[in-house]
Amino acid sequence: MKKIQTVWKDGGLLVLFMLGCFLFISLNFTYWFHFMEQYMLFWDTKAYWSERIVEIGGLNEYLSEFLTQGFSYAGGPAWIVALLSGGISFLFYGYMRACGARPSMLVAILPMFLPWLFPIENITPLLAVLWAFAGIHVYRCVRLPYLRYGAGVVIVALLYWWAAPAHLLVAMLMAVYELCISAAGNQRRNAWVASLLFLAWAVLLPFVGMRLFWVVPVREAFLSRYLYHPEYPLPSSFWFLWFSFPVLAVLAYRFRKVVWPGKASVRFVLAYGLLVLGIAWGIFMRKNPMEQAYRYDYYARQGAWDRIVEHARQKGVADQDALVYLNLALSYTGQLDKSVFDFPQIGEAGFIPHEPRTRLGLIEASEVCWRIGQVNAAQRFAFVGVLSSQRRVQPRLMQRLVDTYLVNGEYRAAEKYIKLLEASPRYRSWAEGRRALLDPRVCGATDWVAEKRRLLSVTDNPIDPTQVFPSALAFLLDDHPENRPAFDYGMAYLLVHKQLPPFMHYMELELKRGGSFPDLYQEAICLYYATVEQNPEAFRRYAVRPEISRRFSQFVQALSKGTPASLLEKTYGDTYYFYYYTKGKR
Amino acid sequence: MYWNLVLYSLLCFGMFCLGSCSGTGERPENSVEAGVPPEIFPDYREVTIPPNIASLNFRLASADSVEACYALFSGKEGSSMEAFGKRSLQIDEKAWRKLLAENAGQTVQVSLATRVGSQWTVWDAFPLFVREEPIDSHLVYRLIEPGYEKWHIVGLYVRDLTTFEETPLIRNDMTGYNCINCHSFCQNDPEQMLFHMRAAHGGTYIVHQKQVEKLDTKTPQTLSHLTYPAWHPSGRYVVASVNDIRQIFHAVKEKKMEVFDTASDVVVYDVQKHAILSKASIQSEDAFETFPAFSPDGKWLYYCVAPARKMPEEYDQVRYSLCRVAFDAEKGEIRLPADTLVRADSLSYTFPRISPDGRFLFYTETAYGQFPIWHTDAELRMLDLTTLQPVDMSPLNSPDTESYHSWGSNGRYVVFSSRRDNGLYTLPYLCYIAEDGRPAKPFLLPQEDPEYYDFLLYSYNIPELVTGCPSVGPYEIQQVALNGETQRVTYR
Repeated sequence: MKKIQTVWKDGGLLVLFMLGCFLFISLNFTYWFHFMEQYMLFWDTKAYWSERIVEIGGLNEYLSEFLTQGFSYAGGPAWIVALLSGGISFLFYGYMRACGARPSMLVAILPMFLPWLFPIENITPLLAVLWAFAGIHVYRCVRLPYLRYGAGVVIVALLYWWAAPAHLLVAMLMAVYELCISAAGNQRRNAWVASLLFLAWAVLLPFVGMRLFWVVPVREAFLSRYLYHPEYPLPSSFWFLWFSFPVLAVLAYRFRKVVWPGKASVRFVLAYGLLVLGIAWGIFMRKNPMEQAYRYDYYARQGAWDRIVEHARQKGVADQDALVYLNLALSYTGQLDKSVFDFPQIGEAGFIPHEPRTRLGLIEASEVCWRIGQVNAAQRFAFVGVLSSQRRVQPRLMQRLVDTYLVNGEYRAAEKYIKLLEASPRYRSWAEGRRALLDPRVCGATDWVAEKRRLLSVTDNPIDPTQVFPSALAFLLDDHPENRPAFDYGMAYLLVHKQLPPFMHYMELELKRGGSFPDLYQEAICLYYATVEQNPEAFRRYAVRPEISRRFSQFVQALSKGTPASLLEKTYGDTYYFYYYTKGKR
Repeated sequence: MYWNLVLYSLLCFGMFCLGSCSGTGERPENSVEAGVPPEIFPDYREVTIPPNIASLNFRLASADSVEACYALFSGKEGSSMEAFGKRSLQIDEKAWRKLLAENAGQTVQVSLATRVGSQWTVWDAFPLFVREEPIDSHLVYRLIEPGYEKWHIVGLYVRDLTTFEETPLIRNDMTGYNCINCHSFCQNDPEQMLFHMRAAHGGTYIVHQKQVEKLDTKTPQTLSHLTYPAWHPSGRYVVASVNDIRQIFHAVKEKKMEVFDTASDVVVYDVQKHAILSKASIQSEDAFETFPAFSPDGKWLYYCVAPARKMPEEYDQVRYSLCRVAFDAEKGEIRLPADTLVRADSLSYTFPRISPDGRFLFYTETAYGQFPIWHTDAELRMLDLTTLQPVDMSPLNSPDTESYHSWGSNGRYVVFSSRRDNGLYTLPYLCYIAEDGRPAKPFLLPQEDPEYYDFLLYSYNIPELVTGCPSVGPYEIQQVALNGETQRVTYR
């Protein structure tokens, strides 16, 4: 009966924690993991397996890449992280009990809150912990001490090869286990010797590996290739997580005989209460500050531009990255020439990141350049984005590379990346679809390719759109005045920066082309002819709608009477001239 | 316990099986003749190869429906070997070595058959021309992502050409992810070389035997650190350019990026005195001098020179001529005037490299500039210095970029970089050069896995043939980079 109660209590805690973990990731970090999925690429080729398996920690990396494919799906990240966290907690609980401690499941769960405090970039460290617990599980199944010591040496070596740095953790866990289960006298002495042997072996192994098998820096020899990188250092949670297990195990063992005060039922309720509090704290207090940008990045990948605009209308815009995506979404949904001032604009950096170096910035730069028709720059930022990733793969940007090579007619280069993506189950169908476009006739007859090709740059120039965005747009428009995305971006830029004369230069060209003028542009035209060039005849050519013209006159009258801005905003807050006169300096 | 052990054993066994799967062992039966040669990658059809090269493993260029393939390599007097595979062939190395040894100076015929369903097709046989002259045993190159302004993992690697063994000489993840570039060997000697590191632990590293020396080569009198280097055959001098290098990115699809100098000179560095020699250097403000090299006898200094232009505005109007000037190794001086060997009229010439016998000048021709790695028009050219007549290099060139090149120690082989495979990644091609300078059809550096290049995300950069494996190891270089003292170079 007591056993059933314990199982129900501890099992219930574990299930509750996994549920909490699922909710925490779902509500706060889903888009983060969706984003991070782009930085791993699993290939199911034999050569890739062979390459990975000979690396330090290569098998762990291989499995990590395999599982990360699940991050693409809506609930994927939450399920995977919850299952991993639950699995680790369960094994840790079993380990502590094997050591002779009688802890609550709550103690076993505690370390798995650390990734909530310090979010992880990928699941490789968690998988390494799982490997370590699998290793200790096998180890403690061996009953004969000397046979077990021998097995320990082999397990540490295998885990180093397969899942470094799991070997460091498993050596610590073995040492703690031996010391906990050993009795006094000879047995205790042997346990000490074995513990020191395991720890020394775990520390020595990387140096042995460096001399015999791998040419790598010391840190990589200890941590494996992808758990150390100067640009992407390990999160602090890694170290806390690593040491929390042996420390908690020792503490649980040390206090195993402590009889906790109070009734069992009270302790039961208290344990559940504490866990619920911890989960609630995580869910409500540990929000991802970049959530909106990663959400928009995810929507952008899906082509769900409407959802970006819709979300921004409901929630506002939190940061520059989100604004870049929002403006891109306005462009894709044909609203950049109407609704750009519905949202707070910050200038050039809100349209394209300035000299991007971050992962998100490089993706955004490539996306914007692709949209405006600067295919070479889109290709360049995609390439740099791939290189900037820790594993030198970025399937989403590799897809962009394929498309840029197809548009430029560089079919062999496109095929190279198609082949790379075809080797990945996650991207295979996309790549196979693109393979058909390697036939130049099919490619040329494909609508989106033809459209991109039609707007390709004709006049060479060395302008980097992320350094001088308006100049890059000007070159594009000089070549193709009908390039609507570039035109709308250009006009939005000029209006945001209140540069009415160059704006009117393009309006003049648009007029000659017989183009139409959305309300936003008409308001700016009214403003120009009222403030810069008093030329009623020229103004009339634009056929500004009477109500727009009348409303502008009323605004000017109100402004001249010294109406406070707060009052003006109520009536004219949605107009360009209100922005012009009140938001920022000219 | 036992279940766990069984599980682990199964896992190990599975890995072993996965690693050892290959070939179907089938021979063609009831086959039909294709009547055309097979399309294979790398294209090893009718290539001329040295007798000590590793096996030429290849895959079928388009093999989606092929289920098995078989190749018969037949040499003189009945010597032959077979190879089996599915869509690619990995040739037994021992049998390959024996076949080449027996057929040095002869022709080996390769008959390939493929099976789709139950139907075998036999393709027209193609020859491999095996030369008697061996190629240098090792190739040193830099592997770098063919990016633009960003690098990630860069490394210098040594590849044993007689096997598939590749070992790192130094990798930048051992030295703070800095840039490592411009390695150069003295007369193909693996024990005497130099290379540069930029950013973290920056400097020029000179390696002699296992001794590594780190230099700071920037002086107040020179434009920059030493950049593009070449050794004097005596090993005492290094000639190098000093450049102010810039790059721009093009907007049109025909071009990607441009690397150019706003200023450049050629200087000679004395390895013994740790000094740049003013009397051996070519420094002028009204000309760009770059990419120097010594002749194998050490008496001439070759370099590229162009009248200075306003940069970057006139980047596409800079055209380099190939010149040479006499060099006195005793005094460490050059003797003007310079001879112009290849005058830049409508084209530009760069990367001069002289054959070990001093007879041929091997260089790159492009429309403009001196750094043609992104110029699809770049071609390799050869000039016979005894007659000053050009050699026909069309068998070696392709419609894509050919750029860096270097000679093997016996003058019978060259290695060069080419983007001919996919227009993006630079790969090393080896080519036999006959005594009269004519090239044979070049072949891509063979790899153990025929699909290796399909999944490769690196370009091969500055391939250099050397006569053995350098004895210095990565950890020795790393120690000097991280902890070694830097020798400052003077100018005198």
